[in-house]
Amino acid sequence: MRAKTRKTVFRVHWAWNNEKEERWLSRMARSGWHLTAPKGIFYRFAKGEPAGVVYRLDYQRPARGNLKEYLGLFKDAGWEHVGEFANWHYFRIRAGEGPAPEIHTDPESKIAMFRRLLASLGIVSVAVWTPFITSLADHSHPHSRWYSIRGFQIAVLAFLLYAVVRIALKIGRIKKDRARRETK
Amino acid sequence: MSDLKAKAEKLLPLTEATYYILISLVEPRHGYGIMQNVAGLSAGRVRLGPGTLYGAITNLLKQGLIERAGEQDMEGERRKIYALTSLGMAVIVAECERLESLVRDGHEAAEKILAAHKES
Repeated sequence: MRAKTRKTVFRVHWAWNNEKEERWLSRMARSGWHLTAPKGIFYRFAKGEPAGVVYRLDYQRPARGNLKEYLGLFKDAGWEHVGEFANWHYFRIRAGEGPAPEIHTDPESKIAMFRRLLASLGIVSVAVWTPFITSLADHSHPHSRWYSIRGFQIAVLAFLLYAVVRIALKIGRIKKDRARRETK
Repeated sequence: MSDLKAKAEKLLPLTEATYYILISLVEPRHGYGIMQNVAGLSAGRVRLGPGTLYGAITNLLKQGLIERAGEQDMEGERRKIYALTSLGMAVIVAECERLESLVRDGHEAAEKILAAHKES
């Protein structure tokens, strides 16, 4: 029997927990599975030599025509771009001696990243809220079908609200860390 | 000029990363050049990750402190060059003045502390 050389892993990671996802990808690389394509909750890996690799995620939507410039900065700094999913860019670099390399080197740019994420969620929320509110005002459809749509909308809105709260808490934690370091 | 100064002062204080990016652009450079120059200027103390640098460049372009100034071919790759605008220059001058006044005020306190320390 030939050993598997490729596999797809299903795993849910939350945006406010990106460090956990980065550590998981490093553990996979240590056991010889190297990420080839991040597709949301499906991760494609290829088998290779076990290696110490540092993964980092960036949430960024470069303006039109700026993608090459964006990726060029990472390439110049030694980072390999593995892939992108929903504006999340996956980068990796060989682990060396000393502390793990970072793509965000100050708390301000980490905060800015999560604020960009909040802004995107805000746009999605408006897209869900608008039909929700107009459907509340509309009493001409008393059928049960409307209730199931409404239930779905409420579920999506509840999830979005939860995500916004978790990301806001994450921003708060980064700010607290920064304040602690400044007074140390 | 005073108009520009007032506009510049509204943008203060700068983060350390932004401050170093601006002062390294006293000569136009591409992104990688900024990373290397900042590491050199600060004797290795300030390291700019590419995520931080890209975010800062985007903001500085939007705020009009820097502008694009053509491209440079290097090892077969084209890199965008950035340069300070007059507002960017005014911001550097204003930030240096602000930091100098902070240091001056601190020195007075430090001297008093040292003098009191000597007497005791």
